[in-house]
Amino acid sequence: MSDERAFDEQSVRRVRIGSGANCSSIGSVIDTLFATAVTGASIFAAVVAALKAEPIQVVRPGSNDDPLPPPGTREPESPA
Amino acid sequence: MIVRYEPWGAWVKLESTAAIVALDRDGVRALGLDGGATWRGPPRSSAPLEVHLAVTSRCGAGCDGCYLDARPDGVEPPRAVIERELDAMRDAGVFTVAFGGGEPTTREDIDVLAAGARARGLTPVVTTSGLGLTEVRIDRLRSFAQVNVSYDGPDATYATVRGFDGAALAERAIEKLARAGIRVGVNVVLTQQSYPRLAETIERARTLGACEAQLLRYKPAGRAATVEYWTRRMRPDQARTLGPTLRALTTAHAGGGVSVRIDCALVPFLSADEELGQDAARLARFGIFGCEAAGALAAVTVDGLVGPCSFAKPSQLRAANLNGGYAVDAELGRWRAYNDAPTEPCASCSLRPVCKGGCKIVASFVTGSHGPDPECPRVLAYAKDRAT
Repeated sequence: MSDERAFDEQSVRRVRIGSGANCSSIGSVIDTLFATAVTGASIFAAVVAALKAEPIQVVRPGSNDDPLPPPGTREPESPA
Repeated sequence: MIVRYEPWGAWVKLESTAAIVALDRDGVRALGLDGGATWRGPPRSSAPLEVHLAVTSRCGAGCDGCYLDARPDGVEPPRAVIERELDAMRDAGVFTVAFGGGEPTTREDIDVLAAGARARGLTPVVTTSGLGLTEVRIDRLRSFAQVNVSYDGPDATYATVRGFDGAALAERAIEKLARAGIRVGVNVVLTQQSYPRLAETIERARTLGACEAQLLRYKPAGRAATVEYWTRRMRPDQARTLGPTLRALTTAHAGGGVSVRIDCALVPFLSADEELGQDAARLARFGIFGCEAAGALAAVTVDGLVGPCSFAKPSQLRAANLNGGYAVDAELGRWRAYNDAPTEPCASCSLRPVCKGGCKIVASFVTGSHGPDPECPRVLAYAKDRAT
């Protein structure tokens, strides 16, 4: 199956590393911000390799007959 | 991997490496998938990626600045209630559930709840004070992906934040968890007293076996919402140095040291950094989240109500109705609407797409309004300019 996924790294818009374990505010790893270009590239390469190899499970939250978007709904084409 | 469609593509939780990835539509198609109604229907607000779940309000630590005002006689929701909330998180497509409280390790069924979260495809993590963490209690934490111990600094520094001398107990807990083979991190609350010793604190945590340090801004909620806040919050001159401090920490711990995380409320402080303050795209690419209250982040109180974050007053939405209800709740929508279009000076800030206006909990306490973060260096400079 992995050979069938012709994956372009440019499609990876964001990578959030780690699980964190704080219960009061959302955290983000910042090591990568200061990493060398080589290290940064290796992170994305590892992600792409995982995307090509891991089995897929799709979750389908909500339902198709949800009402019109409420205030605060984001526009498409930009990750939240 | 678990794929959750979004109007712009999909969020993907990887299993072989601890990471969450945003893919555009072409990337999703490369997986052989199609977003269907999510891509072609009207855009709708997404469920949170991460939920902070208060599994008890019981805690005997008595920390001065407890945001929940947890007490020894707090309440502990029945297991069945929490399991229904976990069901709702699974149905909504939540990826991570962070157990908190109160002191979550006082629950005798914490292991059952963590295993239940895993069985539902959720990644469970937990925060503990480390006080009273016996071998039995440690053994109950093995299903968690990570356990964070509250540790604001060695010896007297800890007491300046929490009001009691618990540093040695927290250190012992970090050691015991690491020795038990459990992935352990530390939560470090940054105050004007603890910030100067941050490098020493993280190095100490590393020697005890911690693999990660989560830096947290001190926030005026619960028992911290008093006049004491003004004597504990980071000073403006300290806030402006956060970028260089983070650079030094990551350099010191590169190649096997402690990984460093910042919380959502610290992101506005990066506006003072010459390099990062102008590069929201870089922050976004590496998954930095600013204020995601009612967006990628939600909280569930011990009463089962959904809030924008753990520090905010909850909405009337019941956690059991998270799937479906999250997108249409008016109060949660109000938070999202502001974050999507904050007022000046945030509106014109280059960091806005990531920062989203800074911490509204601080803003509400300090200025009385749901507006720009008054402790952000850029907001302070803007206010100074307008005053002259």
